[in-house]
Amino acid sequence: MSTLESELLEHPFLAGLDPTLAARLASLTQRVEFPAGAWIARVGMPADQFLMVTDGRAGIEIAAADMNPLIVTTVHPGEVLGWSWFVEPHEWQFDVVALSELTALAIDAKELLRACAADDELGYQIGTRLIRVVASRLGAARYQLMDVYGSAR
Amino acid sequence: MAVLARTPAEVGLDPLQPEPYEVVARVVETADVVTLTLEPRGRQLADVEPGQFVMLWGFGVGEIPISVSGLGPNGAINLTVRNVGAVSASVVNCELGALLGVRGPFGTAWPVAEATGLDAVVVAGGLGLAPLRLAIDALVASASLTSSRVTLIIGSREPAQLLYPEHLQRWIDAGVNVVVTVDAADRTWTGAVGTATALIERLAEPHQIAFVCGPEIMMTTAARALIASGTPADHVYLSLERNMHCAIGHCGRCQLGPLILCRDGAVVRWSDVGDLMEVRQR
Repeated sequence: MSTLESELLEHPFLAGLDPTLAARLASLTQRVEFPAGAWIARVGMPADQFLMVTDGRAGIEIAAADMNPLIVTTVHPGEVLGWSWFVEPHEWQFDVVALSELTALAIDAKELLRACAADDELGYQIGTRLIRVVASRLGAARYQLMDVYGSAR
Repeated sequence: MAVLARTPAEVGLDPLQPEPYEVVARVVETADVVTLTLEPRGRQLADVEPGQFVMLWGFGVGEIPISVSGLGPNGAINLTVRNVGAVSASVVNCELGALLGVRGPFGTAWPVAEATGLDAVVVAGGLGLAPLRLAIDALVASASLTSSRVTLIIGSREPAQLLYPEHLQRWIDAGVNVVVTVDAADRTWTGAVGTATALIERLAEPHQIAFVCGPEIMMTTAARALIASGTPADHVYLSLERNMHCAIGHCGRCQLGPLILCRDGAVVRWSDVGDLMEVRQR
């Protein structure tokens, strides 16, 4: 088993994945690094990578014209960045900035989509894991929307 | 079960009669939250256990329940109050030298003796850090004797709303693993952004005992996440509030199912109240 395969299997997002599937993913994966303050993604850019964070911290940021940019979620080691690659129009929906030096396993999103389409088991495994992430972030966003630490409504 | 501390009646005080306390210090914590230090000018309250509350009387305005967040010399108590209504507005805007009425302390306390020597986690959301402050101090003191571990998870609306920065630093210096998350921040913020529950899930650490205080929806999701991470349900304690009026279990205003929270709470065990907290109330 290659080092990349081991790293993929050690990442919580892929925990329990069949090693043969991990071997296929390893061929689509490279290690990437971002210095603190670097843009990892910008709104509207092609979402051509799926990033699995292994070290460092990223912020998902919203910048509206009439307010200062606001970080609404931080992403930490063991977590993933982005599901825009999985659905059309395959463009990042938010800005993402490295809040510290960040390293990640980056999977080529187009190739991963092709692989998922060609292999039902891989597609199912990646799809259900991504939905878990989406559901968790959606739930958190709903609670944040409640502004529970403000005055009672 | 949460520790039942001594009632005012047990130490010879009339639980329905406010004692005069003077505002001797006033710290503005945030735009709408103030911590007052009150000293007795009549009889002194009974000993306050961590997590207990007092009824605070704004003369001519009304009375509200406030958890005691600290103790000082000369019988002083610290009360952290958010301006949310007529009584709290009058209390928050009190000037030094003003007199307020205080009766209590009432209710159950955090089981700090039970937590001695255990790996403890404290989860505080927003103003929920106030009722936990004395308990954290007690846990820190016992941890230094027993080498046990204390983790403090704090959720806040934004960095500027964080309470007690000097105490946070003191706890960090004492070895507490303090982890803070906020609902939103700019890039100067070095902590996490997201919910306290997401932070619990990220840490995914089993603890032997947990004290949780904050908005109810936060306590519910936090308790579930703690239990999912391996903390026993009967070792997860919460502080629950309702509309406390008499504070001695007579009026029933603070009823939650079979519990009268001024008497059976505010500190309760998740395994005793979890089902009740799932019941839609409006």
